Amino acid sequence: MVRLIRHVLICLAVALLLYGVNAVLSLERNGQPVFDPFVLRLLLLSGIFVTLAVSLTIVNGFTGQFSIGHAGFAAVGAYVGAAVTYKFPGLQNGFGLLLSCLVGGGVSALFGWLVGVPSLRLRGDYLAIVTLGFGEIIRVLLENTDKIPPLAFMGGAVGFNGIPRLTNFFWVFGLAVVAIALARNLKRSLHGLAFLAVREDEIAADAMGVNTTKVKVTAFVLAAFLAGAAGCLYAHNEQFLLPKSFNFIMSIMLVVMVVLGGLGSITGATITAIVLTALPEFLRNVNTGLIAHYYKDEYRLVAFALLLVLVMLLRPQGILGRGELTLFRRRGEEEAGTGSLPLEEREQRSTGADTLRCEGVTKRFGGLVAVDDFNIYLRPGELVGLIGPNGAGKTTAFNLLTGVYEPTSGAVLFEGAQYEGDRPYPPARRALLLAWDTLLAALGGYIVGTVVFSSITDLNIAPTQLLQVFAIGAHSGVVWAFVVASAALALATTRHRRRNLPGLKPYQCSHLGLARTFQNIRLFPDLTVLENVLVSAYGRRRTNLFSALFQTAGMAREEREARARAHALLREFGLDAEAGEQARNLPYGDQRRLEIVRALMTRPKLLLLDEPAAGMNPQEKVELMGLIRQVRDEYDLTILLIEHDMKLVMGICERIYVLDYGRIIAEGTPEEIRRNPKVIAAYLGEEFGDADGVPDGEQRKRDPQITPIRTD
Amino acid sequence: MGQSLQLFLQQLINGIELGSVYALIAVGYTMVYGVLKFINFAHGDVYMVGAFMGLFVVTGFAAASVDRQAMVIVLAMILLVTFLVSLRGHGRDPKRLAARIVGFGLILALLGPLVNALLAFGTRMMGGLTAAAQRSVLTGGLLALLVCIVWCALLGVLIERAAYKPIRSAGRLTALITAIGVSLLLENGGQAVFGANPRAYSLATLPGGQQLIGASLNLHLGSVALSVNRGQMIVLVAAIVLVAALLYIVQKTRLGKAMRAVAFDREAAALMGINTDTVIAFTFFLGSALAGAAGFLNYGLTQFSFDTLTGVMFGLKAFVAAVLGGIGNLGGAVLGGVIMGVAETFVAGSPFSSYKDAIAFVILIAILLFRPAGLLGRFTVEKV
Repeated sequence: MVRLIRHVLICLAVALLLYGVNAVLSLERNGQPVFDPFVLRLLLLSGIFVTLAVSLTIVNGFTGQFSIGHAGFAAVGAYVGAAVTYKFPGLQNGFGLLLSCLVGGGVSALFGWLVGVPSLRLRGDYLAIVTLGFGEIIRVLLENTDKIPPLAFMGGAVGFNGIPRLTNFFWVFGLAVVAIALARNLKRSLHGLAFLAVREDEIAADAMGVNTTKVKVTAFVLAAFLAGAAGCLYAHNEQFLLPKSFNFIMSIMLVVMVVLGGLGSITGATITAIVLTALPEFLRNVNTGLIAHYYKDEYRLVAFALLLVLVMLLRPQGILGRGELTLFRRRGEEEAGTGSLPLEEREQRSTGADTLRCEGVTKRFGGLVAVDDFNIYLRPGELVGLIGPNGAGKTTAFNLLTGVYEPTSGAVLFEGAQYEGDRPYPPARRALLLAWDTLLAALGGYIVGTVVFSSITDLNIAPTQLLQVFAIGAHSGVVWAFVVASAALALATTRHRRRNLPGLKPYQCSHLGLARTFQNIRLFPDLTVLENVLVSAYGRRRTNLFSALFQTAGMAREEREARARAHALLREFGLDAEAGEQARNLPYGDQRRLEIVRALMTRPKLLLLDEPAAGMNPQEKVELMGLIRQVRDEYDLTILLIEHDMKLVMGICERIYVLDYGRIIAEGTPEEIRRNPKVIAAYLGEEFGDADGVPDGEQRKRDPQITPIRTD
Repeated sequence: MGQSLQLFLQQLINGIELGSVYALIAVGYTMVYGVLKFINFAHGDVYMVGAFMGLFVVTGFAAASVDRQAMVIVLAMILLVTFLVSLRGHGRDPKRLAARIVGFGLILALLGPLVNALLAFGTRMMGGLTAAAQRSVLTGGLLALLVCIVWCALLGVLIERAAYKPIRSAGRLTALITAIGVSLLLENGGQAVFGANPRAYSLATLPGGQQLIGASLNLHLGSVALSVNRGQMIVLVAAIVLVAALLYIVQKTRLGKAMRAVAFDREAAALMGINTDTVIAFTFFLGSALAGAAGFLNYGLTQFSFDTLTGVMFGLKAFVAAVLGGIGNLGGAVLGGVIMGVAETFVAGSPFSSYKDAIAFVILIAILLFRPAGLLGRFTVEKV
């Protein structure tokens, strides 16, 4: 309650302050404004660009998704928002502006969702190009609004005229403050940590229970909403819109603001947005006196270009790096306390089923069989080892269990329920999916065919009647040839893909109760040790994004609990002293332990450890053995462990599976495994002519280049 | 039907011709991406420079109407930045600092006469070239092509050395922003010096040009008679020859092999004794050479006009072509370029022509949804 009151008070104070400044700025004397309208306009423009840059920071800086089409969102918001006040003169007031911002932002957010969804499948620069393409498509569509009768008032390429001027300092900087506050709250919350984790290491974030797709789409939607609202203010500030002004250059300028300020730094983006908006306009004013004689407008842009190169050469990490400029140091970091780990109430296992069971799991990469007919079971509470020579397929097996790869065939069951492997679609659903694929392809074929048909036929269609072309196309053989061809192609290519239900994604496996560590350490290098652990709390959060953005009491409580638990876990593993350190700065052994802590934070039932002792010295290994056992007992875990250190494996495992060339060649207690001739052969090679299922003379080689597939 | 087929083939040929120009540029994007994993945004502007160099050779330097004063000012600004950058590192040493300041001041003071000398030299050089080019369309064309290739290749290497090499370890975003800076510099610097007016030139104005380029070529395929512009055919043939030469270099020569090795794993290549700096410079050399050639071919042999901002949209579409084909893959860049050119030509000829600039991106998004790594690119699952 106190928290809520404090928030409301702060909001009121900020609003009052903005209102006051606005009143001062709009003072008039003898009918003339006291403040230079040029400067005022520049001020408002800067404020709008602050919102745009901060919103882009959420996508590019926090989530690490590279968007270079942000101007498109601003354009959508600007046109939609302007259309609202243009079409409804009753809304030409403050309330109308607010409403149009919400509508513009909302429609823009919808577009953000549309752009975010393809990011399901695309990474890095491919996504960047899709966003770029989106920005350009929006621009071209807006340039053609004059040919669509209901939208003709938007003016197409000539521009959208007659938008009422409704913005003032209050609205522009109100939105900027809101954008900054939301971004700041997000960055500090569990949700924001998930965003940062996606930026740092998508695969690790996925494995720790972060739905990376959802995070990315959320980032796009949020950023698009803010950009749309800012675009709406832009429209009501300039009173005139040109599709051309929302071009690629504007998107690039926004990226420049974000990168120059320091990727992910909100204050950095704010500062550069103001400087880069105001500076070129002020340089335009240099054009006076003696200089005017020599001045050309291009110099301004040349200077800007050179400045960009200069800053990047001298300070590649941006002006503020990843840090933030703060007036006050943060309080409340020291709430760690010394209490012991709160005991968890875990649900009693009702099923007597095995924690994990693999039945005939096989994974092929092209012609290579990495894992072949893999059968294992883990009883609740067991500590089992998985060993085998390099390249035997151990890590691939882990990846199959945790949803990183999908098995080619076989079944994986967790507590009796299958979650990976062969699960054929019900025939009706499969038919539906195939029909959908084919329909989409046919539609695409129809559009392409119509374009081709209309470009080789003289149709004489008015530009406002473009849709008629499609109707005419229905009578053309050319069009139908395209339809049939693309439908057939779609049917042929998707038939085999629509065979099995998709298995669980890594984050879903994590929610199920599987947690893992990685052979090649995959921490979130730029996050602190504590933050690395907190990311894992995201998967089991109870609060939603809304409470993160507005820092509700529930969110604060949840974060406090998560923090306490993280500190307790870190203490147990002797890492509490390093909680504030960046993960990349930890020594190797500590990084490995931190990975285990991070995995435990997801509250797993089954822990998969991939070579936890790699790179540790003998002393550390002994400590680790004790720790693993202790963790298993304390948290009531089942553990599957890949390890090369035989002393460690034999010392703690109750049962051991031996994998070679993707097949299980032995299973048993450490004592049995130690004596098993097949295991000895796999590790040490066999004598020539030694009869044991292997033909004479087929000396197995352990040359890594001949090993069938590298999975490590 | 016969007429439809004829129009269809005609459009297809036009499209492939345009596509071959996209392909020439796209190859440069894809090579740099393959080696350095970053989008060289200045590449489209190298293409623009190629167009201008062709103009200078064919019509003489006088046609450039250089603003001498603007040239001095832009060069002074570039020098100032170079000076500031050079202060990094050893700049604190007072002796060196003094030497740097004196040197910088001296160059600045002499910049006016230097530019004059440079322009005089350039005019004479270009005068000689233009005189040679005026002899016949063949010598003129080859000469212009050669000059464009060499000049742009050197420009590419210069950009790499001056702007990209110092920040190579700083991450891809930094490189990208720097590339944007270089791109803006070329566009706006060029505009300051050469003006914003659209230019056009044609080899057809040279002796014998009308017969070689202006005339159209008549093809008969059964009942279908096609009339193809000869200039366009030459562009297409030249593009094929250039790409073939590039493929030969990349596939068969030592340097090409080194290039592929660096693209595969830069560190490992360096450990195997490959001078990665040379290879990266060579990559820029090759890519820029082809972009320069494209700049000349697409304007010297057609009627199109260009200005200093031409490279932006053209470069963007070529880049999209590279992504479409699967970035990092040479064959993919060519395929993507051709698809892009054909699609654009068909849309431009249809009632939907005002949506022409969007079509490249619609195709791109549609294809990436089904093949996330482009048409010929291989989608690699990241190793865990």
